[in-house]
Amino acid sequence: MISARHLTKKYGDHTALDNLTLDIQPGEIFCLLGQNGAGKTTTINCFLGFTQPSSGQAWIHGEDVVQAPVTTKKHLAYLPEVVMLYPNLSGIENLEYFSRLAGFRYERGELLAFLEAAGLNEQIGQRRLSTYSKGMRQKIGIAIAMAKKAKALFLDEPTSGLDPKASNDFSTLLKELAKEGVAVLMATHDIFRAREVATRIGIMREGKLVSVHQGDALTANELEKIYLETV
Amino acid sequence: MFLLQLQYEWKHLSRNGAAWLLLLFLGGAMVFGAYNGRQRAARQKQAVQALKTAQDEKFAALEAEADSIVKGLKKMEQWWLDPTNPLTVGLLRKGGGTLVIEPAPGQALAVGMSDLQPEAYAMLFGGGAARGSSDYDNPARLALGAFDLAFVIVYLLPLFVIALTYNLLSAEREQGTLTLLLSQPVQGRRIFVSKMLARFVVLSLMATLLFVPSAIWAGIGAGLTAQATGATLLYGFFWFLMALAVNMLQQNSAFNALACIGAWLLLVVVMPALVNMLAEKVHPVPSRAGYENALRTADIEFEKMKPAILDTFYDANPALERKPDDAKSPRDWWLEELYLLDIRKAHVADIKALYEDKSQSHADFARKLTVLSPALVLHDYLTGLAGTNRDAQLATQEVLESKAQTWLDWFAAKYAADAKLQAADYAAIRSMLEPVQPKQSEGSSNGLLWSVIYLTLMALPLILGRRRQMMAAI
Amino acid sequence: MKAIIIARQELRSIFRERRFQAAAAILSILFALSVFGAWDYYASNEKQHAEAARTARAHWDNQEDKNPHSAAHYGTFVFKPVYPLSFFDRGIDAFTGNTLFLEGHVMHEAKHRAVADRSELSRLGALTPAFVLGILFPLFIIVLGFGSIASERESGNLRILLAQGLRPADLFFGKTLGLGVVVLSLALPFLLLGGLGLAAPGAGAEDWQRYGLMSAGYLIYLGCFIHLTLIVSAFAQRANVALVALLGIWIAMCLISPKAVADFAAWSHPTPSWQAYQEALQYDLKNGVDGHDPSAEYSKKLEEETLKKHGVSTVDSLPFNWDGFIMQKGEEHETYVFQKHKDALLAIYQQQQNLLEASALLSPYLLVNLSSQRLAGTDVHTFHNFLAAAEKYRVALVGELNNDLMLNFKYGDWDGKRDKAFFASNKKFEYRGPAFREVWQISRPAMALLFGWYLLSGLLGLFVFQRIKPI
Repeated sequence: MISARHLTKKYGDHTALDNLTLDIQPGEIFCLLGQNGAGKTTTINCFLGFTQPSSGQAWIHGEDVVQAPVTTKKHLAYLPEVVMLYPNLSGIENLEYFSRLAGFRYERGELLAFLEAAGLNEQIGQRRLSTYSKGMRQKIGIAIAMAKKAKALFLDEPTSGLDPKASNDFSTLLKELAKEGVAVLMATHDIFRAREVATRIGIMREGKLVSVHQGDALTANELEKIYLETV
Repeated sequence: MFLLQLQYEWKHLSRNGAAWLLLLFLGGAMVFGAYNGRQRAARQKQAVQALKTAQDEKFAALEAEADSIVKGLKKMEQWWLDPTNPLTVGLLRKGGGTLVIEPAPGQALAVGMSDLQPEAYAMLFGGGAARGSSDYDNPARLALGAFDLAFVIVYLLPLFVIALTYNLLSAEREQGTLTLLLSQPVQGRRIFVSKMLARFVVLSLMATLLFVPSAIWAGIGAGLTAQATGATLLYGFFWFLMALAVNMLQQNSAFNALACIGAWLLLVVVMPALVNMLAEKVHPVPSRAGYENALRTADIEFEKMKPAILDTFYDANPALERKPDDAKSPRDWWLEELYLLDIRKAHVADIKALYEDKSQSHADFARKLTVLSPALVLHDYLTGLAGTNRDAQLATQEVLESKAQTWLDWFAAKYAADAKLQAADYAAIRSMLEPVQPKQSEGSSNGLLWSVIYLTLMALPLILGRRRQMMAAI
Repeated sequence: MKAIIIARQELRSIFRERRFQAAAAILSILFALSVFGAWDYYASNEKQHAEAARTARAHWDNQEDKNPHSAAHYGTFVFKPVYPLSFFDRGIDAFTGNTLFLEGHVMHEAKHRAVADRSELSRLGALTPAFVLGILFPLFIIVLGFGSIASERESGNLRILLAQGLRPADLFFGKTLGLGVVVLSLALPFLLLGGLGLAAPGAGAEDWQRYGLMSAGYLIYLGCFIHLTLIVSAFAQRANVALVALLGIWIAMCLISPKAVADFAAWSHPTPSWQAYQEALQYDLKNGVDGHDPSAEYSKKLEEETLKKHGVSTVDSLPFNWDGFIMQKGEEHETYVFQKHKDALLAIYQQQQNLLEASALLSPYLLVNLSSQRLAGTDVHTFHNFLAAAEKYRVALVGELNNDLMLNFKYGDWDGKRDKAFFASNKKFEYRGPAFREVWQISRPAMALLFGWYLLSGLLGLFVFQRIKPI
């Protein structure tokens, strides 16, 4: 469960995030839409503890992000826009490394199962990351999130630069994760993808969450229209 | 945590082709440096052996001849060829003893000044004369400097460390793994510290595994090797910290590479040249061109003082008759000369001191400036360790001169007593010709002190910049 | 024409870069410091050596009355000349003795190397103009040019350029020209400043000829690095890789190869040890004639011949003093032996140098270093030229004394003396160093190889650019 109450972040005179109040329940996928600089990434950074909020609170799984920066990270997983990972390590090794940092020690079979769940077979898992496409790297990122048994997942532009097939695979994966009770917050530019996976869609402008819509209540065209009118 | 990082750092490096290439390169340089050390040592051993053999043969022949003369089997008319005459055997041109200087044990580690150090010191009437193969070495090679292990460590090791560290953090950022790391439920500091430590442990292991066998093969000996390894690791650690500090500047990898190379260029290549220039400016050393002239001028003065000095000689030795110059026998003449020797030495001591003092203050100043660069601190330490620096050379020179004095006094006493050299005397002569062990200079703790200061300085940005680093990661 | 457009663009972008400004500032400061540091090197050494030469001659002129042969043993000192260009490139100056004692019978070694009065630190290099131009300047070229092609490829500009129909040769010439102008914009002022250092002590016309050639050598050398930088930059996929590769090349060429090749040459053409040299020398001397020892075969034969020629039976009835005659004969014979061994040593050095020149393919630095030293007069050849001239002078001076002994003294008269007037009339040592023609002759091979390096690297550059990959 991801929650924010009056979350605000100011850089001098500029307000990057303005009074955000938000709850994302387990199993819910919340998509943030908005132009560059609308505050999407700042929102994620506040939840991750990378940025100290100027005021307001953020909780992950009921714990305050500022109070407990280490424990909250036990419950969350994060997938940055560019997931290059370690090029000289194989997929399995990257997965194992991050899992162990998160405090999990898995057998090889279990690691393979996570890869399998993320849509990668054993053969690919043994290859070095330097040979992976972006879509495959994203899947390793998802596998890392799954292996961590995260309760909250943060995604920053995960589908940019993916081909339609990879993007579609990714959406499916995300929905399955949500089904298992993960709360997902995803910042994106991709209106079509957002409408497809999101339970709810929020549109941001100048640091404010301007409107929230049910994902299945709108068509992609309607959503685009609202978006263009908002920003 | 540390073990996990160690395991993964090893994976990263062992799968990095460039790292292996660098390792191969550094290893090749070390082996070549060690090979050069071996060659030098072998050549010097040979030269020393040749000097010893020649000397042994000479004294064996003299002793045999002296024996025949003592036993009355042979007659020798010319006193200047007489092997029972102490003056002939000990001090004159065809005679004289040669003190052979054993090579410094650590010279394969750091050649320092040892390539200019003579292999022997001839003790003659006119004073000591250096006998060194360096007289015949190609000066162009001497000028280019030695490719020894010290060169590999001081100049090339930092490049190895830099090449494998310059992007330690910037690559994490560029790969996007930094944010992923920071979103793990471990304190960022713990990850970084253990990651850095692990990287350094792997690097140290590689450097040690290359250096220790090379040093042993070069024939440096376990004790010296251990000390040199310690110094090498400290030096490597400095460069490691330097590279990390550059990483803290939050720039991209290309910037880091340029900055690290710039630091290396400044500290390792430019600073020594700059220090030498400064030392030359602040404490210029006069050309020795004037030296021999000054000695000759002093000699001319001395000639004028001679009659008065000889007055004291004959006063002190009433048994000796003072004759006019054309009535003097060679013995009369040499007895006077032997007496004058020490006084002449004292007379020219000021001139020697003048040049030596200038040279010493130049060297002292240059040494003070070594603190400007850890490369110079290490070079200073290694040459000291190897016993091939100026101090060691001067200490050895002191031993040689005191031995030469003993030698002179012994023969002068024998000659004054008009003794004939016999078998027992020859045994005594041999014992005075024992090879001289090179002197080690006093180990300075300066090197250690400055390493600590340098390391602390380099570690400061790590300690202070930690928080900012993590925040700026995103 | 298109090459000039490229060159202009390259210039504009380099001059605007902070990297250029920073690197040029640092390099200029270092060069200025090097000239400052070396400024009085020549003047002060020249003064000291000239002073020493005057004093030594005064000692000779004013020596006490003595027998000519005693005077030959009293001897005199001569000093290594200091050349005006030694401030620019010290070469081996500190590593050769600067004082040579000349006396009868023996050819001494030059004593007192400057390095012996300094600490081991002085072995790590001196900040001279040659150091800045030979070692640091190439690095400047690398830092400016490593991305010249690789960055254009990374940014996609290269594709656009080639799509505009630009010929690869134009690209190469343009980039060479652009970098060349940048290099000249710094190197020319440097060389002018160096020229000031040469003009200050009042150099002669030949020194300017030498300096001109040296400057040309350095410019060609820098040209080689421009080519190298462009070649590597064209090869590398990414600018990072180009930078690292070029740094590696620089380190190998400028730092490692001189030492490594010199050491390798020393092992493949070893110089003799002190004992070996002396033994060989003494052996040859023994088989000849010794002025003090008339029993040797050669002198016996000479004695017989001379006696026969003059129709007398003993040397004391000869019309001249036999001692003076036979000692000079001995001197002439010995100088031959001494010089023979010195020449053999020089030949070994030459073999080592040849190896250095042969490995020029490894590094143009070896070539520029060799030719620069030779032109500056701080090389082995110039030094041996001095030694040979001094030896010739020694034999001539001792010959004057022996001749006097032979003609003006009775046989067996070791007590007759000469006074100051006689000694002051003795030959003086006047040595100016090898003529420019001679210097040019020995520097020519290295210079030619350097120019060959320049041309070959240029051709290689053209070849690589023809096959340039736009992505």
